[in-house]
Amino acid sequence: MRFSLSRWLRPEMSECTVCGRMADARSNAVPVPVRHPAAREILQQLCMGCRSSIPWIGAPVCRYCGRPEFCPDCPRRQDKQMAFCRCAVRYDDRMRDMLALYKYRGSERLEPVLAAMLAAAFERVCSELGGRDAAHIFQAVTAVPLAEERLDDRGFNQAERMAVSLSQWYGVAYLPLLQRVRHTEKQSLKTRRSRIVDMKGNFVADRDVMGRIPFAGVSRFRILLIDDIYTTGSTVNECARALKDALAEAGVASEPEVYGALWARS
Amino acid sequence: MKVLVYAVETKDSRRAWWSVAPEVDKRYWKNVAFREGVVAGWGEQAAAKPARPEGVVALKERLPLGIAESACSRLAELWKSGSYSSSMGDDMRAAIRAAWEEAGEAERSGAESEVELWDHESVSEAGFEQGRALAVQARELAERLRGKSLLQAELTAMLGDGRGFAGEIMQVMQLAALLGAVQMYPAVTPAGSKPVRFRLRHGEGKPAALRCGRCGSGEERLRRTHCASCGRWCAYCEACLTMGRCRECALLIVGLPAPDRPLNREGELPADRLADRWKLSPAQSTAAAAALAFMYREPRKRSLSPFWKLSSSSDSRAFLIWAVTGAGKTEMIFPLLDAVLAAGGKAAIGTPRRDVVLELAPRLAKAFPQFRHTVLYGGSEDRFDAGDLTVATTHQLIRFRQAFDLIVIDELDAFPYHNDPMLHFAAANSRKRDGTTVLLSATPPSELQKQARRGKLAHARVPVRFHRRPLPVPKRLTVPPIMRWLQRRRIPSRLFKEIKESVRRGAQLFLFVPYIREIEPLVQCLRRCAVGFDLERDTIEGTSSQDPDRGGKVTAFRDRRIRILVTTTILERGVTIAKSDVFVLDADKPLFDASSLVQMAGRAGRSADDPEGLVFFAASAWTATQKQAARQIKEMNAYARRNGYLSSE
Ligand SMILES: [Zn+2]
Ligand SMILES: [Zn+2]
Ligand SMILES: [Zn+2]
Ligand SMILES: [Zn+2]
Repeated sequence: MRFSLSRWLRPEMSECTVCGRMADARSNAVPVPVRHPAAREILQQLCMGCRSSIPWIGAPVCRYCGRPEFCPDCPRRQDKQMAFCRCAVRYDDRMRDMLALYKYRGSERLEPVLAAMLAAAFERVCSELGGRDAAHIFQAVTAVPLAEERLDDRGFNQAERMAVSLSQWYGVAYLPLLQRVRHTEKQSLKTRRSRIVDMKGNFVADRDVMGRIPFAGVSRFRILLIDDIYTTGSTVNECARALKDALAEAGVASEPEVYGALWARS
Repeated sequence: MKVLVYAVETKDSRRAWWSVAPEVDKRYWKNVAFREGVVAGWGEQAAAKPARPEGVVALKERLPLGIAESACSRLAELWKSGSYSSSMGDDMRAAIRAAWEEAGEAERSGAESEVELWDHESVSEAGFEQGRALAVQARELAERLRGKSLLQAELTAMLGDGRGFAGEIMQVMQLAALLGAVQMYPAVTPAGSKPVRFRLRHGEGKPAALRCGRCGSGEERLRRTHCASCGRWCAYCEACLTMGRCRECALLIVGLPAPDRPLNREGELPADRLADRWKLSPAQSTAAAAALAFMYREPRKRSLSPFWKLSSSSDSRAFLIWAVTGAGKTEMIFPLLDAVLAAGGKAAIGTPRRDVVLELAPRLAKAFPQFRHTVLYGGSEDRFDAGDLTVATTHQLIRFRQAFDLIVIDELDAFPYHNDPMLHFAAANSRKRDGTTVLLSATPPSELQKQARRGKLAHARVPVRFHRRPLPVPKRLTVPPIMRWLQRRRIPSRLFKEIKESVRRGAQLFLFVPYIREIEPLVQCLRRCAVGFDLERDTIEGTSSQDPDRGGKVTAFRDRRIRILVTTTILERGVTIAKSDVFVLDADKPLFDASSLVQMAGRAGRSADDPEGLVFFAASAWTATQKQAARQIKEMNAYARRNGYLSSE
C-alpha cells in the first residue's frame, strides 16, 4: 500500500476504487439502491463524485427488458425464451469507460464495484418475483460464457466473475451451465443452414454441470442468467433457449424459467 | 499463456528452455535439414549452436509461463553447478515441483509432469526450405524489435500495421529467441535480486516477491487474480495497466539494443560556434556546450546497480540543465540532438505533459527536416516505431528498451513524472547503456539540486532569461486567508490596491489559488469590484483542470480579452503571456511547494517588452516554503550577475 499523508491524518478517508481520489467512506449523502450489506459497503467506498454519477435505473418502464423508457423492441419481440430481465444502470459514457477499463484493459480491481452495482438488478428481479430470499427463488445463477480464445486473451469472463460474487452474497449456487460453440463448428453450421441471424446456435448447455443443480422438491424451476450489457437481447435470449432446451431434454425440469440480471442497458 | 518446457543434452552440457512454439524447437534440434535451412537463411552464427544434441527431453503438457520460467532458471542453476542426475527428466520434474512450491501452489506439482523423448525427424527437402524461410523472417523480426520492449498484443498490433509475416508469428519469434536475437520474459517475474540458488531452498510457504518486468513496480502495485489463460492465481501490474496489461503468464518481448552509433568528433563545437549556429544567448550556449562536452566524454564504467535501480538521479550518464523559467530550454537542446542525429543515432525527448509534446513536435520537425520524426502520446497515430527523433510523453518510453543514444527529459519535476518510479524506470531503460540522459528543469527536485551542488550530478545552470533581465523577485503581501474575506465578500485593501495598480499599468493578471472550489466565488467577488479596477465584468474569468473550455480561456487571456484569470497550479507551467503580473493567494498553503511557487512566479516578466513583471505572494504568514522560493529566484539572479549574463545594471 502506498503511503498517503491524508490517510494517515484522517483514517476515515480511503482511496476511491474507481478514480483513485481520496473519499470519505462514512458519507451517506448519495443513496445506494442496494440492500445487501457487502455490496452496499463496496459502493459506499466510492467518492461522492463517482457515486453520484452512477446512472441507476430507478424504475423500469419496459416490463420485459427493464429499459427505463418506452421500449419499441420488446412488445414486437416474437420467441421470448427469457422470462424477463432487469438492468442496474444506463450504459452512458462513464459506464462505458468503466466497463472498458475492467473488461478490455483488465483492471480487475473494479470487479467488486461492478458486481455490487449489478446487485441492484439482481435484487429487483427477486422482489418482482415476490421475495427477498434469493436462495428460495433461484436454483442456480449462471453467466453468459465467453468464447475460448477471448477467455484466453482476457484471462477472465466478466459475466462469470460478477455471477460468482452474487452467488456468494445471496447464497445461490453458481454453475457454469453454458458453453459457447466453437467458431469452427459455428461456421459449418452456418453453411448448412442457409441463414442464421443473431446469436442462434451460439450456445450449448453443459450436461455434466446440469446434473449438479439442486432441484429436489422445488415447485418452480428458475435459473438466473448474468451478463454485462443488454443491447438487442439476442444473447440472453439464445442462452435462455439453450438452457431450457437442455433442461427439458434431460428431464430435469419440464418448464424451467430463465430470468436475467444485467449490469447495464444500452 | 502456457508454454512447453524441454531440455537439451549434449556431451558436456544440459540446458532447459521453454517454448511458445515447440514444433519449431523440435525441428531445430532434431531435424538436420531444417537446421541447415536455418543456417542458410540466418547466416553462420546459427551454425555455432550445438549441432547434434544427445537427447532432447520435453514435457508432454504445457505449463503456466511463470512456473516454466522459474523451473528453467532452477535447472540452469543446477546444471551450471555441475550437479547432474542420471536422468534429465528427474531433474526437470524436481525443478517444476520446486517452482510450484515456491509459487505457493505445491498441490499442483506432480500433475502435468510426464516427459517424452523427442525423436529425430527424417531429412527432407521441405524441411530445409521451411527452416530457411522461417530464419529469413526471424531475422527481419529481430531487426524490427531492436530497442523495443513489447507485450504480445503490442507486437501483433505493430506487425499488423506494416509488413505482415507469412509464418505464424509465434514460430518466427521462437526461432529468433533460439538464435538469441529476441528475448522473451514473463511480463511479471520474481524480483530476482537473490540468485536462484537461494530460491532452490523453499518451504517458507510464502510466494516469492514479484516485480513488473516492464515498469519495475513491486508487489505493492501487483494484484493476483485467477487467470483463465494459465489456470492459476496470476499477478498483474496495476501501475502500467493503461499501457496494456503485464501479467505473470504474459510475454514481454525484448529486442536487442539498437545498433551503436558513436558520435562524430567534429560535432563537438565550442560555445561561441554553437551560439552562432543555433542563435543562442551567451548563457544558453555555455550550458549547451557543457552538455555537449559531457556527451562526448567516454562513458564511465557501467554502474553495477541492477537495472531496475537505474534512475535518472543515480546515473553517471545524466546531465542536468537547470534553466530558469523563460530561459529558452528547447533551443539549448538543439545542438545535442544535432550531434546524435548527425552520427546516425536516435534521440528522444520525453515530457510528462502531452500538450508539451504537441507543441514541441512541429518546432523539431522544422529544425531537423531531414530526419524521420515520431510523435508518441496516448492515442497518437504512431505507436511503436521510433524514428530518428522521437517526442513522447514519458509513459510511452515504456515500450522502448536500450533504444536511444540521447534522451532528454523535459519538465522532470512536473506531474506525473515526478515521484513516479515507473516513469523514471521507463526513461532509464529506454536509453542505451552508454547513451546520455539530459534532464531539463527550472525547478529540479531537491535531491537533484543537492546532488548538483555536491558535484555528484553533472550540470549547467542557465540563470537568466533570453532577454537577459533578472527574474522578478516575489514581494510579500500580508493579507488574511481567502476564505475569511471571501465570505465577507470584501477584498483586503492591500490586495485590492495592488490588483488595481497592475490593471492600471496594463498588465494581465494571473491569480493563483490553492483549490478549485475557490475559483468561482473569487471570480464573482472580483467581478463585483470590476468598476473599482476599471474593468468590464467579463474580462475577469476563472479556469481549472475541470474546465472544458480551459484552452479557449487561455487564448482569450493571451488576446487580452480576459485581463484577470483566476486559476490553480494547472497553469503554473507552459503558458506564456507577454505582459503579466502574478498574484499567488494563500501562498502559505502547503499545497504550493517551493517549485510550484517558483513556476508561478515564472509567469511574470516573460517578454523583452515587459521584463519587470510583478510577483506577489499574498498570505497571512511568510512560510519557510515561500522564503525558499524567493531565495532560489534571488540566487539565480545573483549567479547571473556574477557571470555577467545580465544586460544592464
Ligand atoms: Zn471516485
Ligand atoms: Zn424492452
Ligand atoms: Zn508494470
Ligand atoms: Zn495467467
